[in-house]
Amino acid sequence: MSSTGLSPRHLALVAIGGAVGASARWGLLEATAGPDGGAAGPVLLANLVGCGLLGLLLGPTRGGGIGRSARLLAGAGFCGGLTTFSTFAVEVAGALRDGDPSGAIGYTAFSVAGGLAAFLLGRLIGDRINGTPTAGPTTGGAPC
Amino acid sequence: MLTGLGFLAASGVGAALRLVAAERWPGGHLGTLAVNVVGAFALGLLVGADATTLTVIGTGGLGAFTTFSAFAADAVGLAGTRIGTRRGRSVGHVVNTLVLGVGAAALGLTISA
Repeated sequence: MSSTGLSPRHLALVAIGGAVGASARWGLLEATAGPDGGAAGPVLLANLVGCGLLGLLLGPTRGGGIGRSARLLAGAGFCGGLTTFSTFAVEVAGALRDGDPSGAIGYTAFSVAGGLAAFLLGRLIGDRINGTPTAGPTTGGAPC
Repeated sequence: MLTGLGFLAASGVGAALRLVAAERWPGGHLGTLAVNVVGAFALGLLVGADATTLTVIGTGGLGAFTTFSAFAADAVGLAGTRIGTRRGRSVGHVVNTLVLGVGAAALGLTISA
């Protein structure tokens, strides 16, 4: 796939999807905000849900499921906007700074392992829906 | 109201800039890595700003600029289509992202403190 094929329309699709996804994350933060500002819970939840949803979207793509526009809007846009790395990194760095290395390591391990597991689970479900095997050849393979 | 509009604009711009960066580097995952490290550093700097700035620029702009889902997708993709064929590249990418990202956030926090 060409890496120079970014049009204003592509950027607009990602911007719209990203704004909607980020708004959902903001709503999650607001809904769960405690008196001291907030906790790691909503960001972790947004990240796991976003990873699972992206897996669901990318799975069928291999079998020619959704097109590039839908992938930009829902994948790079919505899932990218819903999930975040910056807050995660600042939370981990803050825990380390505050002398809580076990909390930092636990949160990191849960986020990464959970995110990867959610992505794989989403991809598995997406492939089942689409009827294509996850581990199959990417090009030119004979259907089995 | 104004915060909401600012949030939508900032998050839209953040997501679009991430796409530009991801397409700028071959393979995509290095662009996403760069975006996540830069965004983590910037958010570390921003901690301590007023609530509106934190919401619009932090949660909105930098939140949408950085991504966890593409990081997970890259980690899985780098492992290869058959399980374990290139596991080292995948683990390397995860470790690089975590060390550089958390390190950048810590640097930002230290500078802003």
